Amino acid sequence: MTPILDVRNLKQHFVINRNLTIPAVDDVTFSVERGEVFGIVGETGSGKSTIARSVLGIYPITSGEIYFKGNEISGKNVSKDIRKDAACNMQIIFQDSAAALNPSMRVEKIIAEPMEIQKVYQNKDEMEARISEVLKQVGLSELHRKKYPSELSGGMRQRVAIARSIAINPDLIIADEPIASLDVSIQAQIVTLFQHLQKEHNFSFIFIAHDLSMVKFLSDRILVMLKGKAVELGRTEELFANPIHPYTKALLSSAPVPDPDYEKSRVRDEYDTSKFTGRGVFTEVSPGHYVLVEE
Amino acid sequence: MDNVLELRNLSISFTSPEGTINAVRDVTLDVHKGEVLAVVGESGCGKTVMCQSVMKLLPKNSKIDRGEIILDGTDITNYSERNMRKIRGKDVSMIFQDPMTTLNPTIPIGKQITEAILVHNKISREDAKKRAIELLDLIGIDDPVHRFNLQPHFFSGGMRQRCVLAIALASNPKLLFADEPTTALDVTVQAKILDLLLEVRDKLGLSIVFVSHDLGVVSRIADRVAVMYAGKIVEIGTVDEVFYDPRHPYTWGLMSSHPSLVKRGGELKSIPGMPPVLINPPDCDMFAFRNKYAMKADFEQMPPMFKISDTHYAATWLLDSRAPKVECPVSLRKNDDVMEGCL
Repeated sequence: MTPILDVRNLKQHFVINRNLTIPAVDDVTFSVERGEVFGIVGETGSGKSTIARSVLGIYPITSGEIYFKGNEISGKNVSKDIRKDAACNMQIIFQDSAAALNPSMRVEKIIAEPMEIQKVYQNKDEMEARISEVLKQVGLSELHRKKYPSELSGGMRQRVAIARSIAINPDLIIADEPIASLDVSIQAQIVTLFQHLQKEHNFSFIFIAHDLSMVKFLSDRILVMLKGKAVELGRTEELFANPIHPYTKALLSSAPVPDPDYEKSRVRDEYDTSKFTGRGVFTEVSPGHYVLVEE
Repeated sequence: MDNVLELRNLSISFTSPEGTINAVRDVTLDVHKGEVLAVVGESGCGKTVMCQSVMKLLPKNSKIDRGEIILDGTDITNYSERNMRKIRGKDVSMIFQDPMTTLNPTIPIGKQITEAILVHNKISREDAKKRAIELLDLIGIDDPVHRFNLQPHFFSGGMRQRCVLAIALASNPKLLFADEPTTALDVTVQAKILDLLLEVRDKLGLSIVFVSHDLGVVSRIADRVAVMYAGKIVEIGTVDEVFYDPRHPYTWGLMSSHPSLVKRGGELKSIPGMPPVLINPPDCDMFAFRNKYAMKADFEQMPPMFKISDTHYAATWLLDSRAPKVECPVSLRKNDDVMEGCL
């Protein structure tokens, strides 16, 4: 079966001026299977969000290819149908829900907007019914329909953002740090919601976060990024049991665990990221487990 | 004197257009010499307000309704701004979440540190500079002589937080408030800053009140933990007691919201609902509305602090002798190897 998303040798270089080009994403290859939760982790500025935006076509990519359901969507000669299919079936959820939702629109209008743009429903009643349905799916009630984003709490706003993204039944949802700005107990609520939605509708998910414990909990496979390079990729169990790249080791060993005895006795691996050159080959060391072998 | 800070029945309120917000309600707390006390809880539970009240950094619409703040044996509850200036930075300091808003972006790091030294110490500029370089060295900045003259934007997030710490430590304070100092940092950097805080504590013998919502971070750094909910301390104890033998349902809820304690593919047991708004709070257990173990008594009367051991207290009616026995739903036991496979 073709993967839902196939990214090959993606490069996203931002040209600042003649002397300065920032390689935000450099030669990254991965694919996301249907119904899979794919986690991307890495430090600030490692290119996680840039990948998300490049895939969605927010930035025109420097080079490389992106295939969505087997069709190329990154080049210049993409047919209208394919472009529309990609636009309908890929949705993003951002970290800051206050910035992502239009403050002057009511919740119902926010959720209806993608359906109106993609002309999913011709009939107003059908659309109204769909709005009620997704509101219920994300755990909001009819009372919230007429509210403005500013009248809702952070957790509820994030639910509205999720409702908007699932309204037109996409195949792939990209969640860019969707829980980073939420409280611990609300984080758990939103993650549980993701799990339910994913099980019910079999969405594919790209879950971007810096909170390793959450990524581990949710993802089937994890990609570790550093300075725009893919450093390691593997199944979650494999990656946590057998990390190979020193940066992955450092990252895993510094993620805090709520267990005082374990925390006090554990030894941290250190890795000096300034020594990272990024030159090397992304090699498969065991089936499905890739590591950047540095020169 | 074993306590650096004592809060006695402290209540703080804010006036707002909607009514009076009781942000901190009847908090009694001791901070021992040389310990790290972690304060955990959701946003809006009063953690930060409690810290700011000791520093007297609260906004103008706030008021200490009741209680005493005793810093190193002196009652500073009614201290004027003038008196506070002598203490602030000298006896008690604070570091915040975002180092970039704490530092002045136009002034070199070294100058900002010497400034902090000169405020409280009558020494010459040269001596202050020497001391500043010592401080930079202490907090682990390589090549301090050269970096002394650099502005904050030359530094990475972690290094900026180190500089903020240097300023906070400039006059050898006895007590340091650290308000989510690592939340804005990457995990690898966060681990280093936590180690640094512990190292500094051991070297200088200061006490740290560490405010956080991350239980993982707390388990790393804390000697004692205070769990706050809706402006009250609901559970307090040593880190082992609170993590391995939690008694308050809110502590259970916080722990079972953490993904490390649940098997992958399993389900997080989140706390339903949201933290309450503290305008005219009813005289009952505020957590009762989100608590599936809540009993009739929880809605009628505020539970007192029940003593579990000499160091461990929790405010829940579940600890009353008449209450039914409820098993702690979180499976975190001492010497359990569940965690080993976790991370």
